[in-house]
Amino acid sequence: MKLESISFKNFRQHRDVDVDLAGDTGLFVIVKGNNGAGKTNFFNGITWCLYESIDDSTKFLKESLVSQGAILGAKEGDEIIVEVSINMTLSNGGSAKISRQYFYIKADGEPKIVRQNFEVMSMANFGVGFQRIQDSNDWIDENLPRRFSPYFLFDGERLDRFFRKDDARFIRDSVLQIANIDVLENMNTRLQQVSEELLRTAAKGSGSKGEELAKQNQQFNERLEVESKNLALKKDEVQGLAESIQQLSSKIGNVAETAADFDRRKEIIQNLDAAQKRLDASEGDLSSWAVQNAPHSLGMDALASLKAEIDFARVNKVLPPPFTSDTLTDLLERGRCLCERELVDGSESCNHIKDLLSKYNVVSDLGEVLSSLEPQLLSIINDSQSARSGSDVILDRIRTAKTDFASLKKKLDVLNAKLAGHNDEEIATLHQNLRRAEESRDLGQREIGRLEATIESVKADLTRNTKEINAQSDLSEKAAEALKNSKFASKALVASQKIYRELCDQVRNDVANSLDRQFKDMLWKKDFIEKVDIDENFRVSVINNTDFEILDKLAAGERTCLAFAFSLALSSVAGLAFPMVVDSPMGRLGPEMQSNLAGVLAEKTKMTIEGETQQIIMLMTATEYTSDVAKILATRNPRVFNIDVDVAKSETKIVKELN
Amino acid sequence: MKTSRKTIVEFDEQSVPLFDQLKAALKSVDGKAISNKEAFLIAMAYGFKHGSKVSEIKRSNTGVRVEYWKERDHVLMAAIQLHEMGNADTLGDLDERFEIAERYAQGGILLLKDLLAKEASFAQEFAAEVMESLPEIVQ
Repeated sequence: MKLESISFKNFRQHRDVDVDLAGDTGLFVIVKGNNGAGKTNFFNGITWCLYESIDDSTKFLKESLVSQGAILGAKEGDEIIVEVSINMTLSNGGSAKISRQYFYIKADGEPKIVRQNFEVMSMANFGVGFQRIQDSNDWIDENLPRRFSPYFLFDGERLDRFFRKDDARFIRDSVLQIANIDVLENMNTRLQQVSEELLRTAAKGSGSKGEELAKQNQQFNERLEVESKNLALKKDEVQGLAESIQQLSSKIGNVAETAADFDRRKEIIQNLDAAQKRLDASEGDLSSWAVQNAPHSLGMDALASLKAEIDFARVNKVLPPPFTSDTLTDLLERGRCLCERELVDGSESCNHIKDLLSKYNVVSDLGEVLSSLEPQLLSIINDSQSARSGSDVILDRIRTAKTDFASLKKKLDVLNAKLAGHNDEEIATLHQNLRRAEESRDLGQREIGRLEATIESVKADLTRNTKEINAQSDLSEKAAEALKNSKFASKALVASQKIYRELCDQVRNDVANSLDRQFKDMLWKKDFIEKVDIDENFRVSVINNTDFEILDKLAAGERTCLAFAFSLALSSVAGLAFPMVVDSPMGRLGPEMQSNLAGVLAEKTKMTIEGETQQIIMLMTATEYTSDVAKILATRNPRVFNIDVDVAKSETKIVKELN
Repeated sequence: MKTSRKTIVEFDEQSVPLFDQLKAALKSVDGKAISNKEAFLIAMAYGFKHGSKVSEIKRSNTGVRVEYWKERDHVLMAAIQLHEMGNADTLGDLDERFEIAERYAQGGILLLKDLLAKEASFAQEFAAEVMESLPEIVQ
């Protein structure tokens, strides 16, 4: 099955675009362009044409599809047609032309939708021409089932929904739908209803007690239905909350982490402030130190001269000794030294003092001046010797404060860059919303537990009631017949449920085995994965070579590979080469992962299903289709289109690149 | 020692704003702006260090009152006086000591003018220069 060509008319910015995918190179297609060029609307055009769906939803504003250029170019009352047509070849060798149109009239400057058309023309491989299909939607259901679309037409940036631990419905639905087992599930539901209705009919045929049992049975069943619906609603609600939680988390990367970053930033700013204060204080200390030491430091030459002058004066006996001549005279008169030793006239000590007195008896004015200056001079020189260590301490403090400041500033710059575009209030609100959603989810989960307990209790009542009905002996013929039929329906239901479970298990195992094979084949870290499995609750698990479950720990590129592997596994099990269209397959990956994935996509998606090679169309930005990626994908000889937008006209051109 | 007839050791009239600028640029031990005396001594020592002095200052009647000078301050001024005069004979002449100090203070403050223009880094640059002179003291 292959898309041969796609044409767009007035579909958003694709005002008049034809893309030809014919030939072998059309099996591996790359449409590349910048953000906003129209890749996603190319993707939306395909889903709209086939399923009348935009962004996975059939609820969209129909007027939003019309090209702005078409609206501006139309006169009041003019008709504007929006159309996407797809020509394709089918697995059986036939061809089909699928086209969808919305017709609008321009009124008051706005397009108003007036009618729509969906048309499929089909031609068998041996046919002579295209024939219009009576019921186009039936044809789509048969040949391109809508239920398959999420697994083959997807946005690479929303791959996470494929493998969520808290919701295995996506995997379950895909596996069951791909094998059409969901029909059997619906049949079982109906069979159960029939069995219950017959049981009540039987009960009514046994007098007033039977009437009462039938009434109870009805009540139990109704209650079971109500509680089951409540349970399903609650589960949906909890699921919705889980999705909200995930969206909130992904919206700002990780709310908790970002909030923590804001707290960290506050702390850094406080520390930065403290470092600045330490720096200011240390610089103040340095300033005081300079004030105290500058005069003597800078005037050192003069001080040295003064010291030399004093030393010279002492040698020339201009300076008096430490004691004045009067003091020395007093000692001689007292006959005792300061140490209380006796100064005997004519002794060596006495003569020494007399000698001093004779030498310094010529103390001059100069000596007096120098004497008065000497103690302070010696004190200054002494202080200057300790000044260096004082300045070293201060300089150390300044250096430390500057280093702290620079380091904190660097951290702050990194955080500021990381938090650019966020603000505290937004984060606080998101954080608050996240907390509320988590609380509601927890409440919902408790409510689910309560509902499940109630359902078990009602089921027990129903079993007891059924036993009582079965035990009635005075049944009318009609009632007995109904009871017989009810028992038969019940047995058939048990058998059918068994078949359903077996089929489920079989298909699940087939998909799991195929997924295991595909994924291992794709991984560039060989022998890293031991097994990929889908358990009976349809939860996907990835077991590594040390026996750990690592689904949540897979890198973004590995997760993308797993999604591709899953789609290929579904194709393989369904025997259906459904074209795969992927928007931004590498949007979340770094350069190395992009190269790895490109290698996988080029080599490992050449899967042939029942003689057909699966077509892959990838819509990539310039950051995805890098020169490295292009080089790797070139081995697959892709058909590459450039999608470009004329900003003035808001219209795109899609041009095939020359190989 | 002769007593001085001066009551104030003065700043040059035109340099009073520069001295105010110097006082604001440096912090004293208590974190406040430095005093007139501290500013005068710094400017004088700076002028001496760089051999910058004027022949005469213009009187401003603003500066440091004579009674504020302590013995420790006199040591530096006397040292400069000795260095300037080449002998110790006039060390007892306080008027001469103060005049020499005033001329060097004026020479110093004019040199500091450029450094003061770099407001933000004055204290640090000045401290660095003081530190460079320290080994000479220790030796």
